[in-house]
Amino acid sequence: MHAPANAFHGRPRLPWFTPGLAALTAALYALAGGTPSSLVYDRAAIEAGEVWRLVTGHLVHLDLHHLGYNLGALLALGTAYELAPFGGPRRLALHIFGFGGLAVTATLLAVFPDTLRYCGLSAVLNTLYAALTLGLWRETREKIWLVALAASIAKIAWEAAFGPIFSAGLAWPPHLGAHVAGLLAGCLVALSRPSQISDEDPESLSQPVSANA
Amino acid sequence: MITQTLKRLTLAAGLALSVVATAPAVDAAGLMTPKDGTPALDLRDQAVDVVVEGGYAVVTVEQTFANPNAEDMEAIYSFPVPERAAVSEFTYWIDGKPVTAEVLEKEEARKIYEGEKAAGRETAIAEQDAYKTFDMTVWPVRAGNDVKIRLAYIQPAKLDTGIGRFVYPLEEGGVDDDKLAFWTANETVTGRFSFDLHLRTDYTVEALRLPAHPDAAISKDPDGSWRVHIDNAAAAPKAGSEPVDDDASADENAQGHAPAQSGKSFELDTDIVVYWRQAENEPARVDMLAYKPESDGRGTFMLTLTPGMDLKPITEGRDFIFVLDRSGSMGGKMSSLTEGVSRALGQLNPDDRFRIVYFNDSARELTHGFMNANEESISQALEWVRNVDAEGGTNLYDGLKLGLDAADADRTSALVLVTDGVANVGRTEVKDFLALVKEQDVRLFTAIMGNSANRPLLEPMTLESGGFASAVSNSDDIIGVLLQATAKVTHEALHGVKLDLDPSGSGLTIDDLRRKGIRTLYRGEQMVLFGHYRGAGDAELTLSGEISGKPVSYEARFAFPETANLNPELERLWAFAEIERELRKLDLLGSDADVKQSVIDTSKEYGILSPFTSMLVVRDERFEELAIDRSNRDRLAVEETAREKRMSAPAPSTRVDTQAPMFDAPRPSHSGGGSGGSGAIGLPGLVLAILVLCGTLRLRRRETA
Repeated sequence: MHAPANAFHGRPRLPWFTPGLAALTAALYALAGGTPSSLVYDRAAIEAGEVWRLVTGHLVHLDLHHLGYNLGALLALGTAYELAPFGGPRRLALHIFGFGGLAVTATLLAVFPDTLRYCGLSAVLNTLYAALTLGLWRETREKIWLVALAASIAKIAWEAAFGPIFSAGLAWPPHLGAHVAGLLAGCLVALSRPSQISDEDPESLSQPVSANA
Repeated sequence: MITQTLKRLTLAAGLALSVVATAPAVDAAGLMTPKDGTPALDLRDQAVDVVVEGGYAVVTVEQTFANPNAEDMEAIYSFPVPERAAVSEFTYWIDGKPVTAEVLEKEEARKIYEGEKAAGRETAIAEQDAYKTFDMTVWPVRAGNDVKIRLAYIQPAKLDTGIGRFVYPLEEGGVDDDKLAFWTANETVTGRFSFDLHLRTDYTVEALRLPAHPDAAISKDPDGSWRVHIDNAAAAPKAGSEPVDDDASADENAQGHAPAQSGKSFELDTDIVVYWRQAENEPARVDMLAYKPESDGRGTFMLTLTPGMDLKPITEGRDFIFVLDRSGSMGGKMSSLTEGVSRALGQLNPDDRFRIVYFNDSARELTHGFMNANEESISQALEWVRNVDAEGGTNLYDGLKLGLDAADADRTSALVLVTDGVANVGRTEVKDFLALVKEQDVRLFTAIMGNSANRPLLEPMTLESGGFASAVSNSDDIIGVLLQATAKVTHEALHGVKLDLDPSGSGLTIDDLRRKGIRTLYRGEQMVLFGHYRGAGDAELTLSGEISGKPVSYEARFAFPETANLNPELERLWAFAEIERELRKLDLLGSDADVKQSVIDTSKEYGILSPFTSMLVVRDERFEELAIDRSNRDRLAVEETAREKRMSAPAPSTRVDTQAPMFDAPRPSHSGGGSGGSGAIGLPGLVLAILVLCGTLRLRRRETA
């Protein structure tokens, strides 16, 4: 197993994007309640020009149950990504939520015309999850991260075959297409960044990585 | 849960019923003439005007009869009873002035009519012949002269899976042999025939479609309402409307067309069926209309629930029993029936089993026990079905009993009943049928074919079993019927339906709730609830039941207004629901003077026709001399004023759960199921996320060390 690069030079950074986004998501729920009709992804409304739904659809939730799990996962994954040597708040905002969110909504629009409505953060959380597990594997070459990524794929496959595992009871079922799109987007994010470990050049392990590179 | 898995066969029902779609008409609406050489009258003009708004349709039929013969004659116009129609107006022009009818007990009205006729005075009467026809009789049509009459009725206009359907029935079902033997119908409109439908709603309607009238002119107004126009004279679409372009909002049959049948006579032999499709993104919701002209008086309301429930597809195998009518009135429909059964069987899974029962004067099984739904057995069964002829009477009870007895108690079973007729052989009492379906846990899916089928028998019986009944016209769109039936068959349903409506405070009281006895709510089905209220204030509405054995509940809270005056027709709709309830009681009791009197009282108070009452027109002065109260005339004036007010503005929103929607799931639709998706990471996702966080922190510690 390769040793990781030392990415943490200077003052340690503290996560700020993740708690901010979590607070925004919770505030939206507190203010607008579950499934706010003016904020969810609504295909017809988007086609009619209500483009803000492309963003807000990811940030609003069906109910407290839905919000709770997603907020928990956001706090864990977002914090991890902000602290990861290949992550950071800017990458989190731009690559994960920007690119990932866009990829998910574009997939919904282009590939799933029958999906009229959608809401929730988990498709983008899948982007974050894939980017993290693949990124961790690329940094450490520990197979556990590939197993973790495979576990997420297995979860989606299971739900496709047998329905939701623990999230049953939500008014809208998990949208597996969006989850897959999110996962693929995360893989792209992770693979688009040069690895700190080069199979050809073990010396690269000693090169530093800037915090937000 | 066993009772929750039976829906697939509705598909079969839908198919079997849609079968009828290509069957030729047997008889039609028209002017009746005895088959004894009596000269016929001329059905000169007929103008049909329909306004669909707020969940109900107001239909007005104005027509002119001419007498080309040398002597005065009596005109009798007969047409099939439209589904759930409350006849509210009958008007006869006397001396060029419209005189509206009043409701009287049937025998009394007929006696007065005959007396007026004998005295040579103008008179007219509208009567209901059981569930079969409305008959309007007018005296006199003077030699070489004509008369004008108008009939209006109100009927609920429900949606199913986002599709609305309106039928102007013209085809007579051919099930009343005595009538057919005595009368012949002149079904030709020699002058002008026109049909205008105005669909007003604040919800977006994407397309209209008339499968049997592809040349109808369809247009969309700037305010979003839609119009349909059929005319046998050259005429342009109404002013103010714009032709529908070939764009995304119009479906393939809803584009602008030139009016049809220019200058020709018009045959009243084809039902006019209009479908409209709501936009996919219209939400599941609760709508309410209220009428309460005075703040301290009694109000009437109509609640319409368009549910959005998480109903999953059904996949496991089950048994289907087809019970098919082969009585004489099915004569022109057998080839279509065969095609329908063929398509229905083709939809079954290999795990499913089926058997087929036929009935006319008696019942017998065509199959020999259950057959597996494989290619070979289906082919064999279809060969048998093709060789069956239609003849004899209708022993529905024996057919149904044989089908029910064939059910395997250890398997999930559904019974598909396809019939167009009346039960006229063997047991015919409604109570016997209700008792029969209660005996076994088998759900009925009934295809009610044609306009003269015995709906008062078939519907309660089907509902009692927790099944679903569909009415099918020859003019229906086979694909449309198929789609609606499929929706009932392929998904779970809400069972043990319970609907509660309770005031939240002391300022509101609610009573006299009336709704169809729905025990099971299928995917795409709406629920309509009528009632009275006093005062004003908030109420809590709760819909509860079980989906796949799991209890579910949906709640909404909304306000009842202190006054509302735009929809006085609600009072008649409530009264019609009340009369239906009383008539069902009568079917169960056999005969009950109190219940019958209750029907008569309600009918007279609210001015609607019933099997025990008639609408009578005499000259204005004769109403006074006979001391007949003109309450219906006054009620019509109120309705007319309200209608004018409604038409002067766009259709208002009727949704009452906008702030806190009753249903989280979207309303189901045909394309893609109206699906909504959630981003739910769930517990496994959370566990994995924490694992990743731990790994990252470990990596960070390692790197900062």
